[in-house]
Amino acid sequence: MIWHIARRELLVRLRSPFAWVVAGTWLAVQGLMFTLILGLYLQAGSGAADLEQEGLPLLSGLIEPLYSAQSLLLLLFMPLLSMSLLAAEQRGGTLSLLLSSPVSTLEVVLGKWLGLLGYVSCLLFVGGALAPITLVVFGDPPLAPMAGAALGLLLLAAALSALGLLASALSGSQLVAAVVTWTTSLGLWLLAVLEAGDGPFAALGRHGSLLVHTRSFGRGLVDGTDVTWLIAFAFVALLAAWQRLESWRWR
Amino acid sequence: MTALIARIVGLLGALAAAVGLAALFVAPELPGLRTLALMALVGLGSWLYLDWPALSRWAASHGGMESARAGLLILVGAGIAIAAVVLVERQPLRWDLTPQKQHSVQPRTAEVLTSLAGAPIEVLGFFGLGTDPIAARHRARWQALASAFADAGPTLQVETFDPDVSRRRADLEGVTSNGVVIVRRGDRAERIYAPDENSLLHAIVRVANARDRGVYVSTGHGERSTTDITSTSLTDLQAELAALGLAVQPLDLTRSDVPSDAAVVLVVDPTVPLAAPSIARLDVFLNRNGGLFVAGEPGSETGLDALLQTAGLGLGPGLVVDPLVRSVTGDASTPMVARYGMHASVRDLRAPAILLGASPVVRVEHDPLAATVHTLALTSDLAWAESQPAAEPVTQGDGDLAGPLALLALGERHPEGKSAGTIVLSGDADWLSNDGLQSAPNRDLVVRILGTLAQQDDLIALPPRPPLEGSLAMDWLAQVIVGLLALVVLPGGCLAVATGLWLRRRVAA
Repeated sequence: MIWHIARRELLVRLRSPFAWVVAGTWLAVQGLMFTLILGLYLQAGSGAADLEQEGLPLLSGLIEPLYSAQSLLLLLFMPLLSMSLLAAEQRGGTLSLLLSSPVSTLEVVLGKWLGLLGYVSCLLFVGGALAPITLVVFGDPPLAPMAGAALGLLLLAAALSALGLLASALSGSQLVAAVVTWTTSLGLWLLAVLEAGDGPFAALGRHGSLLVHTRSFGRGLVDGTDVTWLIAFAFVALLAAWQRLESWRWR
Repeated sequence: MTALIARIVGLLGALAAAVGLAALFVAPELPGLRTLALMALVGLGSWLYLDWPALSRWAASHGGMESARAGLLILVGAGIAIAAVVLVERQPLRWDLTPQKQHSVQPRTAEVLTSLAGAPIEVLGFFGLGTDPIAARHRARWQALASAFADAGPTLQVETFDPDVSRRRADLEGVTSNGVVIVRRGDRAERIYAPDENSLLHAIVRVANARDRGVYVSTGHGERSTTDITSTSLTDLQAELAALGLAVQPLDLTRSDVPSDAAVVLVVDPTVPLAAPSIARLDVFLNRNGGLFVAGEPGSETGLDALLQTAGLGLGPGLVVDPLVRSVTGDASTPMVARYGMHASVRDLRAPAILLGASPVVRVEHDPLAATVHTLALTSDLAWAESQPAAEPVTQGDGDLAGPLALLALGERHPEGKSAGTIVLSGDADWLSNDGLQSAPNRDLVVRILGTLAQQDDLIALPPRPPLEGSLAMDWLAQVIVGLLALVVLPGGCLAVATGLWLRRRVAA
């Protein structure tokens, strides 16, 4: 049943003009960032060649900035994609219909989350395939760090989708859900600034920041703590969203 | 009203409990944990006591039961999630996917770090974020290095601070600039600058080896004093070195050998040339891979020319005159460092040190296989070495040595490929005196140089890392095609599909 709901969620998005407009905007911004980063990298490389110096390494000069750009895009676009997950059902009155069907609330939550994750994965890996294809066709990139970066993006998307689903379950308004997701994820992202300090605040920055737990993937390093943190984050958000939906059922 | 107050108090109690629980996981050493626990108990207890009728009614209702169940489930779930993260954090698992394993330490380093036993070793890095992209790059590089060391060394406690944000900690450690790393075990500490795998490993090994090392200042030839507090003595330098963990002691070279615990010997402005036995003692010390710092005044005779020559160093004739400095110090014969060399001891220094009348340091003829010379500090291109400083006006003559001139140079002795000590030579001694060390750049420069000299022993040879892999070559046409695909074709395709779907819905409606 989970797969059925996930497939339905994905198909609804693929049949919605709004989802395609969001995808187009996403790809345009992503394309702009890719072109700029690529141009800067090639320019730095030719400058170094003129000076008979070694150019920038591909990993730190191109793959890491591209990964950072993709992470920021996820942070900015995820609220727009997740806001309608349950908020629209609440506003449209279809949630009661969904809950009265022979489907458990856990299946609804997991199905909707997987559906959104599938859509975002399509955007990330099908729409965003141009960058890795360019690197493979015109260069000799290290493939393992690229796979690590892809894993990082997938885990970040999973965590942000779960957060968006929770916000959408908490509010009947799509706008409120989007704002809550955006402010929470941005707040968690910016906690990284505390990391430079001292004492408990630095510890909060180190342990609580989304940025701290996602940046090493772009550098070709997969840290077990980061993987566990992102999975745990998604788990708690999904659990809370499930319980919120449960409360609708007994009400 | 009472119920409202009780709920606010209860909310504050719950907040204290949540903050306390989070702190218990992330910063158990926090001093206020007991206070938070007390606040949580008092807050939640007051709420339960004052709002009991409403609470019992709510708890007895179906909604209350369900909410409590849901709340408990979420709390348990969050607890499991936090426990999982803490568990994985304590048993670090990392996969370095880079082909050159650039996020991991080399096998030899890992071997040394794993073998370290005993009390934990603190590694404190002071790297600011600031707005400078170079500083940000250095910080990122340090964080990668620190994290690789922390993973490989179970006895290491690695922390990073921004000296601008953590000012109290920076003041406590005596850190005044970015890029400083302090390695400490108990009361033994080492400082390194511009750290890399090699220098950090060496610092850790030195701290782990319980061997006291000191700086000896030569006496017996009219050198500068380390005990009398005058403008020309070296008492401030002694204090600076003590902060580095290096004890400074006088050493009468006419009577005794250089002790085995000596890391560096300073010979500062001898008024009488050193006698042959003293020089022989210094040579023996250098052959043990010791560090020698020689600072002579213009025109004075140190008697060390032959020893300096073994490191490819010598003092040139004349007094350094730099017209560019006149506008800053008002005196062209107090040369200022215009640029620093690429040696690790001075690589990141920016602020110009000022010398108070100096002879130039020159490279003398030597066997390049037996010694390597590094220039540490240079004058501007306009400077020259004035052979007749008394003459007026001071202008560059034909026989004068033309700039840029070396103010400080370092010579590494390695006859037959074996390290045999390092010598640093300066043509001025006043910049090391209490007067000279009033200037912060002078303090930074001498501390860096002596810190480097003190680290010449305990060397572990690490092979250089292979160059980073990966390349990309695109011509103009390929860039245009990729740009068109990224900016026009892909987004345009999505927008075309959106329009098609919208039109189809419109037609269907």
